Amino acid sequence: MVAIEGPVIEVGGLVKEFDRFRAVDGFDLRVQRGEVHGFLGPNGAGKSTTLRVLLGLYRRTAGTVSVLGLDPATHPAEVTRQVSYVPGEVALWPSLSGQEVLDALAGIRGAYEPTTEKRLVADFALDTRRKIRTYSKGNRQKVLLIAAFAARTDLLVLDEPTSGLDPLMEELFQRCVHDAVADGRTVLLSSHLLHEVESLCGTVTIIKDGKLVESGQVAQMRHLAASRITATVRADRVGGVRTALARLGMPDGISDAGWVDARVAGEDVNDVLGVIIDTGGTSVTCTPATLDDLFLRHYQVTAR
Amino acid sequence: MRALLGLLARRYAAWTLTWIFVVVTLVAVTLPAYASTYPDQAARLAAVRLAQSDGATTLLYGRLPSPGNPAQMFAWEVGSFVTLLVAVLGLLMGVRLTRAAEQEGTIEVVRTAGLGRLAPLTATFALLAVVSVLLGLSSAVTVGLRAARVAGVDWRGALAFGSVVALTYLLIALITVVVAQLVPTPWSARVTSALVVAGCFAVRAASDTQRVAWLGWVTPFGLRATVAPFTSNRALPLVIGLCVVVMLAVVAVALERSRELGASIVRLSTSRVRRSRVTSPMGLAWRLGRSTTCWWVAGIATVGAVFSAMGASVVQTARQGALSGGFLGAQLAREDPVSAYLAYTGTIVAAAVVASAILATLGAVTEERRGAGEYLRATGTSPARVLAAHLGVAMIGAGLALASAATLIAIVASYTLGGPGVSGAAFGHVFGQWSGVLVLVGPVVLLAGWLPRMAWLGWLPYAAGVALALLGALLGVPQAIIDLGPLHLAQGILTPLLRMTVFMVTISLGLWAVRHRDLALG
Repeated sequence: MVAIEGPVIEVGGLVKEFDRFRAVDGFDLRVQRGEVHGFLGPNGAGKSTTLRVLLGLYRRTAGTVSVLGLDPATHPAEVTRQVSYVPGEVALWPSLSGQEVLDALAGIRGAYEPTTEKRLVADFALDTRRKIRTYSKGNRQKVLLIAAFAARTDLLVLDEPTSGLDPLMEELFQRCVHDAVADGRTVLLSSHLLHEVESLCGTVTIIKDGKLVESGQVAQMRHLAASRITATVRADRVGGVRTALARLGMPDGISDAGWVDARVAGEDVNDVLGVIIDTGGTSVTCTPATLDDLFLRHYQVTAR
Repeated sequence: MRALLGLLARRYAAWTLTWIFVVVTLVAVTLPAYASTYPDQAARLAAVRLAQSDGATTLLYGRLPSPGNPAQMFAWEVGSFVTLLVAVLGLLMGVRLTRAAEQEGTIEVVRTAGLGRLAPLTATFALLAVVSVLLGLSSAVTVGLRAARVAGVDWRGALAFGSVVALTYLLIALITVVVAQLVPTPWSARVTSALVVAGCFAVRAASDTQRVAWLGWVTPFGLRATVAPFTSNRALPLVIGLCVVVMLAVVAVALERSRELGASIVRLSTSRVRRSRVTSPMGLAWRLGRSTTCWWVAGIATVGAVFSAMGASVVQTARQGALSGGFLGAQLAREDPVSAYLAYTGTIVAAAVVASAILATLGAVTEERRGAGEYLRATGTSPARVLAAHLGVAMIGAGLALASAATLIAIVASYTLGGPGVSGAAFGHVFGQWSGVLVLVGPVVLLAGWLPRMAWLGWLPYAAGVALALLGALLGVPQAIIDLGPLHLAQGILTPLLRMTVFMVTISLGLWAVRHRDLALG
């Protein structure tokens, strides 16, 4: 384990262009040691490009990047030697068996835990005698996940690592992530599975059109996000409630029949509930924002 | 189905048209040469008599029909190269469209897009047929346009020649499609089909050298003799060939119906856990390429030995001054026939060695573009080490192939050619091509490191070098220019040193460039 002061990953104003196409545009990212950091964004938002810049596979156009205290552009091998990476597209060598691939990757890296590998092969129920070409997508992903968790590294960079796994294996994956963090490793997890992110990640960063749109603690972001309030108000009180809601910026929150259905920002929830109760509202419900609500509004994106 | 055909045509258009262009160019540039090769009728008749009685040339090209006019000599000599070329195209295309597409997953996508189970195979047949027609028509028209300008060439013969080219391609492609259903991987399909093609060639050679005429009817390479373009222009062998094509298609459909998607009739063994001792990118590149390398080494050494074994009669013919025309005559037209024949053998061996080395080097680009290189580089391996590893495997393969072929040729030549110092000369003429191999591989490394998507351009210097070495004399290229070619045997120390320098500079630039560019995916 390398002792690095400060964040494990620190990205500032990252720009990555392919010819005239700007895939990442002034993006910032900070991942602290020992955390599981979710990295979210719609397809084509620039997630995989950012991850490849972090690993030195792509050269940045502008900005600063530090991974484990090193610049991946100038020290790609030194960085990746300490990083376990599972790419989004799993393309292994079809003529090798699963075990041969695990051996080759471990041998080339030179630092791995054979006992962990053996345990994970059994846990993931992977038949390593078979050739890679006979594996399903999920089994190919298992090979890379086993290699990633069995390697002696400080940081795991996982790009949609469970998209081919069944629910049982997803659960096992989550256990592996918890074990890795307990061992002092840091995880940067790019995923579209919001329940996975919700259960694993303490912090998240959302990228859209190559730009940072939100970053922070999941609990805090949920608190700030809009909750849904529904209620029924007597017909003669509709006007008063509408006026009160309009003052809070929600003039359409109540129908003429007295049905309240409003998206309310975290800091306004108490005020809105107060108005409804004061006017004798009934059947009142208040549903806190889920991660889905939080993220899906950012996922609405035009094709780039 | 029309959309699927359009998709396939678009995907393979550039690649296929390049092959067709090569075939047409070969036909277009060599045919006129036969009109002016022999100074007079007497010289031509002498050459024809010797060619008809010579075992080596019969084994290589088949039997030269009488009276041996320029058109017949063209179909006999260049026709053998053209049919071999289209056979290789058929083999590669047969595998690409079936087993390779199945492994890539494209067939799965097509079959689930509302098309029937047999749609991909039907589209494959259709595309192969279209390419076959294009090959046949372009060859026939190219030859036919020389009617009345080259003795013996007429439109009927040209059409027969084009039909032979088209049908040879189609038969080999269909054989490959059948083989691809039997074996589990694209690589095994290519190797097995290549063995079948080699067998077909051997049957044709046995038919011609042993004078067993019926054998010529059971191999695609026998079509030239049975159809006999510019001689009898028979249609019956073409009809039989088309029937065999239909039968092969039926067999392929039956095999397709009898297996699951992605499965093969011959199964892979998974009985034991195989461990790997790979600890470096070089080790991994060797593990991935070792069996291909071994096949190349064995194949090149065998071909070299066969050429060496055929040498005695060719040299004897040349000594008598009767081998003064045509492709082989041009190769042996200068200096001592033994030395010239060994140089010719060395060129053939070197051409095959360079092809294998370029393919092995380009493996780095293939791996990178399909994504496997991404994971390898994320284990702390620099891209230059990955490229160097593939180059290393290419060089090991080239060295082994040159050394084994040179040794085998030297041993065989000592028996067949005889004479003082022939073994040493044979070894020198073959192994001496090492600098030519290096100078042609260097630009490939440069392109792989600098512009991976354009790495295929590395084949151009190779194609130019092979064409200059094998066809330069026949086409009347000045000897001074031929001597500058990369596959011309280097004399002294200066040329090898110069070639070595080019190699070192180009690979250094390639290895530097790969560290300063983005990963190339897709």
